Amino acid sequence: MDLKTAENKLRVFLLDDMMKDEVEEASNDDQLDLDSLDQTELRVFLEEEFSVKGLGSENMDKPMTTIAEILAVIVGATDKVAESA
Amino acid sequence: MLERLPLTHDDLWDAARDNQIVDPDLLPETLRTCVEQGDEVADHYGGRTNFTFLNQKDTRILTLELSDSGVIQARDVINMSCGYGTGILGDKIAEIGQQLPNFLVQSTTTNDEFHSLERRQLVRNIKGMIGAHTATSPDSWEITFTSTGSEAMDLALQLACLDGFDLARGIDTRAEKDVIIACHGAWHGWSLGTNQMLDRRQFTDGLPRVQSVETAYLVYGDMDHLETLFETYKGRIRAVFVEGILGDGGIIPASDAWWDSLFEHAAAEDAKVFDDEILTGFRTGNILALPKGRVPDCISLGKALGFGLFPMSALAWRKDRLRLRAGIGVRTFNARPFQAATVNAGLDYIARHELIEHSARLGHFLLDGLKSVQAEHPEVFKEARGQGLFAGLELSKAFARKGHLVRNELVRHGVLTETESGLFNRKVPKEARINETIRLTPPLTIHEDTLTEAMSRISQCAKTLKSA
Repeated sequence: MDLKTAENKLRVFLLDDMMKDEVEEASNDDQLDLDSLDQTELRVFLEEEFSVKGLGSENMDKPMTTIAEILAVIVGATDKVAESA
Repeated sequence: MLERLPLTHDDLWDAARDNQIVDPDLLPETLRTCVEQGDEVADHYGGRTNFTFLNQKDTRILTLELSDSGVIQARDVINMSCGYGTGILGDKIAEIGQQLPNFLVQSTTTNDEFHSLERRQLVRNIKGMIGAHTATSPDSWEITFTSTGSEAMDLALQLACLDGFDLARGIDTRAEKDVIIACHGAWHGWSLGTNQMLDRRQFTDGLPRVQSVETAYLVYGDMDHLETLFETYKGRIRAVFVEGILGDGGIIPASDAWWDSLFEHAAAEDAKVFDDEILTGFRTGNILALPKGRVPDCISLGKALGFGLFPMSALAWRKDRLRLRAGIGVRTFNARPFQAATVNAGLDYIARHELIEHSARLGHFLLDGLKSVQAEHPEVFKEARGQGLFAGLELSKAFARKGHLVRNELVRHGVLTETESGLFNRKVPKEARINETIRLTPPLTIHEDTLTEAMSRISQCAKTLKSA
């Protein structure tokens, strides 16, 4: 999956499933308001859609707050899948 | 120099009438500490409110709020919550209180293996109510008592899992029935057992799963989805767990036609139907929210059954459909004589004052009023739903996930409510999803004019939220 497709999928999730209206106008570097419950739902989404496993270990040590940060996690997971294939 | 006396409850009630700011130095020391630092219980919500409740009169609660800037404000709040809907008698519980000394003196403290007159009466009361609602003989039901709703539903799940299990031979004669159907957005409790029936991974991840059964999720009230799910798992469905009204998913009643279809499909599949009425029992203008004349295999009651005084739950099942394995129903508190006597007194109060009928009448008034409030403020509220004195105001898209913010603002405007999670699961079709919903569960003893005032305050709160 290319980065643009991943970004589109992520934005649809944030807008439609998490009701984050601010995402409509947000750039990839804008800070999003994601509380602990949001972070959990985001983690489940990344796991189910992008096979991202083990958030909080090597991928990140702090909550994700921007689209760019989330995309970096997706890219990291995708690369790993590609390497192991 | 005269020493200033600490403020009494009466002083604070006076202050609350005008939402006055209270001088912390005039509060009794322990109260001031409690307001400023909390009551020291662990933060199990992931963030606590700034409200401390002091006293209850009629349907009003005396409340102190600590603002972020450290100011303490007194408030007079209408109780439209009753603590998860449990305190159905409001402050009329005091009338039962007059009998409590006698109950204490007369009640024995024995284990649940021995009989008591008090529990006999309670069994008869509840079997009679269930029989009347389901149009069945009270004698066709078995009943046992547990403490919390979670405990009752955990026992219900055990009944489902052990249905057909031959203990002497160690064989599950219904082993092919390896699917349990639960509903998206349903809430059946916090135990490891009931956790198996939740569809939200924020509650289930990291906890073990029961290996012998798979849980499939139903969109509550959706006829087409019901048919699809029963077709998909044909021959494998062991049990269906369903709430009388979907509670945490957003106060969603189902149509009679859906219930009929559910019972038809379950009968054809030989799946047992477990009706969870922990939250809805006694609240919906009837004993159960389940439409009258329908007969599930098992019914749970809780919350209101303890009248907000203590945890008390009950599980009733049809003798010809389910069987309790010896030992599994044993509980330290299985309607002890003191509890049973107190609940009997509460049920007697409800009957004498015709509170079920009263709540059915007031329920129409409440729902009509809430629909008017919604129509007036569509920017804040999307829909009003409910049955009897069990109602919900679904939040609009702008406030879809801001339930706690709205709940707190409602307290500031003098109405205590609770927040339901709604239905955000990505596996649920978008058109079936539900935003967070404000739940209103006032005492059955509430008066029409108090409901009118509460709705006026909700409307005022909506104006504030819109202008913020």
